[in-house]
Amino acid sequence: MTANNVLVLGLGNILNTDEGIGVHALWAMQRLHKESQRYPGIELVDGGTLGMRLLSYVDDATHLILLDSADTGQEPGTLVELTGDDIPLYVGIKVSLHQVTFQEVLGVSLARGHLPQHLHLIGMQPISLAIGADPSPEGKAIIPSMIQHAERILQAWGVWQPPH
Amino acid sequence: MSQRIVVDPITRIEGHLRIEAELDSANVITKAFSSGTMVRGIEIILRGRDPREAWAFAQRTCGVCTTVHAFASVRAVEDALKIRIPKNANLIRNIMIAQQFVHDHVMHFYHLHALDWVDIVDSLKANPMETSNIARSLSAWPNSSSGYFAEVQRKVKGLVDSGQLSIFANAYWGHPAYKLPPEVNLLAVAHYLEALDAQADFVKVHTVFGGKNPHPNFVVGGVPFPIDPNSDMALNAQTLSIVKTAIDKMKAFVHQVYLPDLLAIAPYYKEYASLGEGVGNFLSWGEFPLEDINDPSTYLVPRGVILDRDLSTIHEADPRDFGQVQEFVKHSWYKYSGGENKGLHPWEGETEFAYDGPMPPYDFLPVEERYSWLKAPRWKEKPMEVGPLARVLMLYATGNEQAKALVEKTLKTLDAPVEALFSTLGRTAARAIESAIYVDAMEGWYNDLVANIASGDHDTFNETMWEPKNWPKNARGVGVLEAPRGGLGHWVVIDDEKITNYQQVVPTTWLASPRDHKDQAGAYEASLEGTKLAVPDQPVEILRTIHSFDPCMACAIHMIDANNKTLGDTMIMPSSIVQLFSKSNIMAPPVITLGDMK
Repeated sequence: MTANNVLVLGLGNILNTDEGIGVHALWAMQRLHKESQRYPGIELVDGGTLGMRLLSYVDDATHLILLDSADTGQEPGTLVELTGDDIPLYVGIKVSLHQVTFQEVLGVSLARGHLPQHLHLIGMQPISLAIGADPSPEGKAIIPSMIQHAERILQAWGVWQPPH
Repeated sequence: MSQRIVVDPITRIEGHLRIEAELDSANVITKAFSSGTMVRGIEIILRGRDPREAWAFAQRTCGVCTTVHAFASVRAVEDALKIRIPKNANLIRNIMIAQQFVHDHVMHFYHLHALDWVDIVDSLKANPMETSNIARSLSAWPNSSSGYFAEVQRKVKGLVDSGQLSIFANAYWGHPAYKLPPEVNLLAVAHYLEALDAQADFVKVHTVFGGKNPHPNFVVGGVPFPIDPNSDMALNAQTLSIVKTAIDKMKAFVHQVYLPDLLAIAPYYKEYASLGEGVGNFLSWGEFPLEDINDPSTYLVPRGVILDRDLSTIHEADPRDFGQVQEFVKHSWYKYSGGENKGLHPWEGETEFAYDGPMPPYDFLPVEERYSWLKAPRWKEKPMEVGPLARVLMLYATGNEQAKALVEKTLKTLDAPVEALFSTLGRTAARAIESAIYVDAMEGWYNDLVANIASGDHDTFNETMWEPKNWPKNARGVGVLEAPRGGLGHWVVIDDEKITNYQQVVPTTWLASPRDHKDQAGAYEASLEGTKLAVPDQPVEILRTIHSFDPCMACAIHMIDANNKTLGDTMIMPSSIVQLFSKSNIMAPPVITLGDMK
């Protein structure tokens, strides 16, 4: 692999408020980029809950940041971060293809030798999972912090600089 | 000792499926109950919105079925506003829908269903030369040398030995219900790995027609891009050639890999040709309009109903008929203003929650009372099976030559009569058979599209009704569509330019339906009765039949004994990154969704 292929992937279902927080955060990054070209050379992709359909995006990436909702049993609104090997990869029997988890996509990518060398998850413990196309007000207020975390990682990887 | 098996929910996407199955002392299922334990709220989200943007929300109903939900939504709005789409748009939509079929069915077979039949670990015992001989006897697919299969075997060994990379963990390897010889297992494993690579090529159809974003764009009135042979920004000869390449790859994979594999594996599991039937009634809304969407007689897959296995009579199906499609809620957590025994057509549909089930965590649902968030859709008050088997039966019964040839070839391979189609195996075979039919049709639509563009017709969008000022004050429409897992319908009511009612009846609602006002079982429920489990705490037999329907919901299984004690988890399938860290959250049905209820 010669050129870097940097991908930020927003995950989750936007019909259940904070379940979709990763997608809402990703959309916010897309808006920032549209306004001021803030993320040159970085691919910003709304992955929703597409599961295995995201495999080729993952396969092609060298650097991958995942934005997602994350149930780690912590206080609602807590941000958790996991890097590389700390993210469990997983494939097994399931009842539905709709159950293909994102870990499984990562597992299949790894099995075929394509897992991005640089992998980082930023997840928010959901405040609400009620029905609704917008995040909870508290969740919405945490989105800027998710983006800051993502930018810090991109910077640490040396693939992005904040605009002056 | 009798006991009950519970298949319990977890997913982030569509809703949760839970199956409670009662076993007799011989471990045969006597009764099964299917429950959707998470409510879906799309109807509530869409109320009051602009109908032209409904598809953008509707497509998120389901993570994997974005395209079909978006198309059902735009078809419903086009129906309400009497919009005819241009010929090019119809051909492009047909190609996109057919692509979805091939992609979904290939992934279903290799990534979901194959693990029910194929013992991956056992493939390590195979003689690669023998696998090569089998492969070459099946088709002309080029990856068939003994060296190739030996290399696959080395890869599998590396993965099995590597521990955390548990592509092969958490399954039932070595279970007595696996019957393939090691050489056929190796063949299937090789093709599983190839299918993962192939699907990345298949989706290129959507990157051309839908944009690079994995959620394609849609538009009421046609397709959201122009055709211009002289513009780089439009559909032109170069981008069309990408579509052609993807179609060629799908065609080769289906005819040379998928269909031959199905026919190679099926004879080892003949007992599933007489198991898992379901309700014996089949509904197809029909698909792939060749001319006018309002004239189902022009569809490739006919619209109609088959009752009681009788292939000699096709009953007319009409999604607008208030007496045909009705949803019942006697066993569902909803309240109808007209009472619990009434059935409502989706245009009059009501979505008022009335949860009176146990508070989680609980051991059993009150299956004699209300036990599901799914309503019970019925056609003329009868439960229906929708999906690949319904469509293939419809094609076969109406004399489609290709369907007849493929069905007869399958039955000959199984040495079985036509009744064998009404089964778990029949359903699984139907999926491969229809993939072959649609992938060939896709090539025809592509050629028609190219010819139509060459004739000077570049029209892709009908804008006459785009502006709400041209709309009637009140309108209602229905968009039906065959999705890979079955007939899908969106019903919309528009008043004063806004959505006032929106109801979806999705394939899995037909299939995973609870009992109805007459206590008739739904398709999943009926299909499991009579199935014997070899090892009750490893119920691979349940998975085989439920998987053959390609459920739109996820589950994990844990076992409960007759004293309502959990015997232990046989399977935990975390549905999102995070639930993995918190097992207690996986086990508990999603209590959070209840918080929003009245």
